[in-house]
Amino acid sequence: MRMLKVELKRIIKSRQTIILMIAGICLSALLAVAPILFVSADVYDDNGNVQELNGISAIRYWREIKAPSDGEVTPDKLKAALATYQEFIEKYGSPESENFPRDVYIEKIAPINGLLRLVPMTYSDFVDGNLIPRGLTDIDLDELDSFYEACDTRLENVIKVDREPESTKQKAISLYSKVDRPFELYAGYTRDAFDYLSFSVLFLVIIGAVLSAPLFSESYESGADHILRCTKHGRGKLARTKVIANMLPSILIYVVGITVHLLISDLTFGMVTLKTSVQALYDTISLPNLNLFQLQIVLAVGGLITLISVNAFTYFLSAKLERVAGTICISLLAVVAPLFISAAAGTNWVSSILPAGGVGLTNNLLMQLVDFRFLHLGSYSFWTPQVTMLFTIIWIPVFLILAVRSYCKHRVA
Amino acid sequence: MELKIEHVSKHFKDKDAVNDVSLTLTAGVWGLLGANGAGKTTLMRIIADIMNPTNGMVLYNGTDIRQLGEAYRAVFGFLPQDFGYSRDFTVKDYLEYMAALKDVPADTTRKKINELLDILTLTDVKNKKIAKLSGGMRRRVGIAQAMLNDPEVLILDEPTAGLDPGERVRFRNFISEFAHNRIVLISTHIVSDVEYIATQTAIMKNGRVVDVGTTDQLVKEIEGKVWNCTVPARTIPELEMRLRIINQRGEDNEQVSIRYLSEKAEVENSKPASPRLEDLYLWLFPNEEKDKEVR
Repeated sequence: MRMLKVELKRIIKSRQTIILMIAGICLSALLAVAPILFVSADVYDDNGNVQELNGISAIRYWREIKAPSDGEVTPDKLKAALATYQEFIEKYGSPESENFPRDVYIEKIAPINGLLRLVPMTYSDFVDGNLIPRGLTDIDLDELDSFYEACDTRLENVIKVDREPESTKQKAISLYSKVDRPFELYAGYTRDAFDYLSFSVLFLVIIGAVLSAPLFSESYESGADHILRCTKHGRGKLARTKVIANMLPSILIYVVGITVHLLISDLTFGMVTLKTSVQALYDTISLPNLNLFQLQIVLAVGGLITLISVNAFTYFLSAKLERVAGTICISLLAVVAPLFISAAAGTNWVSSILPAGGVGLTNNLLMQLVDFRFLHLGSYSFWTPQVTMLFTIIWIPVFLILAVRSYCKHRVA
Repeated sequence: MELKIEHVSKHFKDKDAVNDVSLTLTAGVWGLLGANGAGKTTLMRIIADIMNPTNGMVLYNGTDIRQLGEAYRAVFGFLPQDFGYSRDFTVKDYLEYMAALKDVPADTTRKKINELLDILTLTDVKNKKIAKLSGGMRRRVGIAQAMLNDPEVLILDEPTAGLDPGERVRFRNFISEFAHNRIVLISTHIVSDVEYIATQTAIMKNGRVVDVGTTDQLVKEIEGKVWNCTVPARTIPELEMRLRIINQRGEDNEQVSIRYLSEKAEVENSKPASPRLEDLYLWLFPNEEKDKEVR
């Protein structure tokens, strides 16, 4: 305990830790604010003049406008929404055209936009082996009576189009059968906000890696290691203490950063919005049975596990390499490697099993959860978020043990 | 109490840094003299168990130090040639950190630190960052950490580098006192540091220990090879070409008093001088004469 205290004191008092701590929290806050600023709305006043709203006022405006659609996504609601849409389309043409009166759009179409968005993606036609979403005017109102059956059918069609094996089909159907129905939809939250939550996780993991890199390398580089490892507790006990003491500020920065991010985000977009089903914001055949609040928790916890895993890997590198710069470079490379590998090779085992498999841009845990991504091994299929998280957890004890062993075995060259 | 170095060798890819060194260190101050590259630092690292020897072993009271592990490190203190530290440490924080690593009892740590800060005249800078201290002060912080646990075996590699003459004298006195019933091994270029306080001195050359003994025993080897004489100043350039002049001092009437090393008297009126350890060192390491002049 005494060693942990002095080691923590050393780390927390270091300029690098203070800078990274401030940077992590500020960056998280900025990344929470960015998607809020992206929201805009054109509002017509009584004289017909356009006034542009941005940020919080735009979010409030849209929530107010769309509030009538809030709640469960029932076939009746969908039918009513589609009927309204088709009625006004017949009258004024496409809502994108100049002939469509803006006041009518805002009064009649905008409030039901969230519901309408779910319809074409669910009702698709097979054309040359591809699924082409049907236009809103091509869908018969009565078809919406079986909206949730259509979701099941679409899932099977997607599996067919992607030529997924039977095992994937079974796994996907099994996961999808657990999704609560009817979906819930509350206007407010945007996909951008969740993308930026994933960016926050990525940057906090990078900050964790930078904070972890000097753990052992710095003392090798400065020569301090020659003294430290000559002390009574200078081998295994010091290595274990250093690892724990370094992990704590990393976790603290992450937890504070993500908490700040979520507080800004949730308080702005509205807490009630968090009851929205993942399927209502993303794709009607997204597999996880989560609402947006639960999705946030999963992403935050997944990010934390990834942070610990990447840190463990970085400690191992740090115990092996004599230069801090080298450790930082390789560690950062390991963080971005899944991003590049998945960009080049799509869904694949390599990027999924790396310690940082859950962070990135198109490969992050959010994308893995809301998209339809499976890995195959022989006749077995595995859902990528499960694979990624499983390996992320497995690497933690592996790299921690390797880090401590490598430090203990390190000798002066 | 005995630290036995048994046939220790360390071979690097292109060099034999330590070559079959055997030495038994007993309580007292031991000097380790040698030129740059003689193998002193490598030998010290092996004794500190931070470097594996290619051959041989180091035994403390009859047991291999690698086998002793923590028990050996508990009674060991080490100041390497390059004193490394975390850049954000203040002197006090650093010593508290080292005390925890050395398992110095928590209730005596503060007293011990204050005692060492006082002895090493570091009290005034205890709240300053080590990185902001002068080279000599940093060196003294290094000495303090090595002594925190009252080690039975204390290894100091170039401990006086950067210390001013007053500090060196204080350091020598402190070490002499400290070495009672302890093994203290000091590696240095500065011969006077060990000449006055070392009970025994080992001399390393090209990875081997070429001589071991008390100062009196060692200097006997060059008795009759150290000469003093006075010569006209104008002859100095010519004499420097053919003699190993180790000291010269200007006298009146454009005369210079010189001290040189030679098997026999080479200059008229030369008188044999009492040899010192420094003379032996320069006899063994002729290339060091230039360094000495610089010092």
